Amino acid sequence: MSKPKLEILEINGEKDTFYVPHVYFDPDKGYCLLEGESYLENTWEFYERLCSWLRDYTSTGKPLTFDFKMIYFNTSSSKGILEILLLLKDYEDRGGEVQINWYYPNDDDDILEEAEDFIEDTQLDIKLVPLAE
Amino acid sequence: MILQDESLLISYKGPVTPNIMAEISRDIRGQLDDFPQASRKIFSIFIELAQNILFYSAEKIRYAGRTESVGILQLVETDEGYVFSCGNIVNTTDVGRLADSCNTINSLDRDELRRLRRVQRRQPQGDMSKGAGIGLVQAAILSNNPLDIEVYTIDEKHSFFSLFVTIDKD
Repeated sequence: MSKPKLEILEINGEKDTFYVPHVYFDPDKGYCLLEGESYLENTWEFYERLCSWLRDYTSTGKPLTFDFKMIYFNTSSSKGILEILLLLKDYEDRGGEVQINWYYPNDDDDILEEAEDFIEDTQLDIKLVPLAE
Repeated sequence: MILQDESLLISYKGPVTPNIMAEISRDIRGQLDDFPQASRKIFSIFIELAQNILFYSAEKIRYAGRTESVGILQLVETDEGYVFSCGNIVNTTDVGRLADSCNTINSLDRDELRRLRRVQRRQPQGDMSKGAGIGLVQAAILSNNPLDIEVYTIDEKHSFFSLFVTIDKD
């Protein structure tokens, strides 16, 4: 296979007119982080970029740990997050090793419920981790 | 709406643009520090419902070189909580669909609403173009209260549609 080596994907978080979450995807460590707040101008393009990286990474067959540390996302962004999770589920079903941790502020039941609904939707074994304020 | 014994925290009428939404968001987050949970909910509801104005408003103006949707956004504090409302002129042909969405949402309990949100989340992007789906469901889930609507007929083709969402204090 002479595919170009997959690079680290890092997007700095921003809170201006729109809210861009911080992204850090590291192919060597097999580690992905999505953190912060997500309310975007071009939601689909943003999440498609992440999914595209993940499709390349999962084609290597290596294990992956994904940490979600979201404190806010609008409903459009939640579709993007679901796309990521479905992709990870598909990888797992094909034999990929996936560990997903979902960190949430321990005083925010709404975010916890969203995570529970993602679990219901994807049937993934997502570890729910409360974070103190 | 009568504002006796209530305090008006935010009131805006004009073009609803991303920049103006950002200003109002900052105001919501800044003003409600004492009630972090309510503040988070109001902010999320505001983002979803402002999108509805963008989709449905039948009133457009030229603003900074672009055609923008006009709407009214208000946040009122009462003893028990907050009422966030948004209103805009809509085509009368859209009123039935909007009212039906709200009535359906109000007839569902919390688990049913979560199920509906999951169904709508899985719909392809294009099917959501008319807005009144998942955003309204999200507002109902976050507020934990029924959605209230008011409709005034303006003329044969246009009505003024208002939506009121109540958020309890923590």
